[in-house]
Amino acid sequence: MANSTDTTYEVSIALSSDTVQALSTGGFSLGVLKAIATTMGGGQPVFWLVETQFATSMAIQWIAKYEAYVQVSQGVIVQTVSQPIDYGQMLHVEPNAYNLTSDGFSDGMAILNDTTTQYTCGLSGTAKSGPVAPIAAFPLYGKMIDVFAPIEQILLMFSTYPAQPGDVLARTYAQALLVDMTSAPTRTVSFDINSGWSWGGGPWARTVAPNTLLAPVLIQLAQL
Amino acid sequence: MANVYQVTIQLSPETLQALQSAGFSLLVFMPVQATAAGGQPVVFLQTQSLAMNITVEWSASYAAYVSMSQIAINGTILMTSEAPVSLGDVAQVGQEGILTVTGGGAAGAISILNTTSTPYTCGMAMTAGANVSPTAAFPLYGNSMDAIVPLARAFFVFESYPAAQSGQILDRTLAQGVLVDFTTGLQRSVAFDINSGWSFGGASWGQLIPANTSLKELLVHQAPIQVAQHVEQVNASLQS
Repeated sequence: MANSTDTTYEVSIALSSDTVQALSTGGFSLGVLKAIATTMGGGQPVFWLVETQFATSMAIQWIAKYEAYVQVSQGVIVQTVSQPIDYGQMLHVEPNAYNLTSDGFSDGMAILNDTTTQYTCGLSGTAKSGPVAPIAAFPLYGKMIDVFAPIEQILLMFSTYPAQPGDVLARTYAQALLVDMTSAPTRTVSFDINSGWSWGGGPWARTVAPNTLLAPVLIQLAQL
Repeated sequence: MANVYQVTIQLSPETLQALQSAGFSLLVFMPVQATAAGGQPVVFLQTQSLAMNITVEWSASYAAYVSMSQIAINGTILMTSEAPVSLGDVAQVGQEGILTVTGGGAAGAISILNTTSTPYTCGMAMTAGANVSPTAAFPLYGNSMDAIVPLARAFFVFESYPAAQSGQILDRTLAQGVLVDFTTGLQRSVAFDINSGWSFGGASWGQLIPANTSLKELLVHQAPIQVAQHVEQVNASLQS
């Protein structure tokens, strides 16, 4: 069985003061999105975190603790339930009840829809800077199971795109950086308003061009 | 076949006389929505050819443009290059501002993708008569993309602002204007009186806009691209 740990992950971002100035006056935000593995197609990544305050040294930190969320819209009312979950556990969605059991998938965190109502669901991650926030959004069809596994990779994008946490982002609007944390829980990168991202060229990061569709980058379909 | 929009403006002889003697122009603006910040609306059409019945006609055929002009109040946007696009297209900006149009962009939008590290001004232009004219101007940073969504609306105002011209960025309205919505019809009729302003029979497709209204707030809306699929936006305030 996969085990979650209490690892704290951190990506430090170094910016020159000219870049901080340009970002602050230009209406930029730093959008952070997170990768995820899943058995259910049709999902989209969402803005996990959005930072609008800039400094010459910024850090994105999170811990490897996850929640399963389930959401349904009834007209203008959006009801959401969020439940801490770990590998091997399954959240059962029943009419008027939610139950967490331990008969899930050893390498995943599962959500089972025991109703015939369609929901939106996914995992939420715990960033140190804010509340538990959704990582991606997936359809949860009636009588189906969606299984998820977190992937410790984040995508960083400085842009003027109007970003709100929880909004689906289908494609990049600026050059973004995909950072992989699986070999080391701490990484340092730099961003310059003109020359873009730099990280010393190691294999643990790569740039993602603007206008790149993000579902294939951040959502891995996997047999969990 | 692109939609053709038409607005007929009726003026009384007295109003026509007053507009002509004071050098008024009819200014037409096209509202847009875009993902980019820092945009400004641009006079789409300007005419001093006034008559008791003025017909303004344009088609929903779009072009993407880039410009080296700075975005500044009272400045004029001169297009460096422009290319016809359809909704869902991407206009890639290469060296020298040369545009290459491909498909594969966000649905319902015109995307302008800067593959260089040179910043440009960019936007969407439309055709009125023989001219292709910009509708708004947005900053396009190096290695970035702006997505622009046309709106089925147009804004009309008579102003005597000296030398206002098509392609110019103006700050605020100096007279009452009318915002016309074409969602339920492509042809509209309105009337204008020099003192009592615009009238359109109280129809819901028309909205009076007072003088001293910020044109940027009225006409340029920064908004994300909605992804039209079954996956709902996830509410940020997620608490159990």
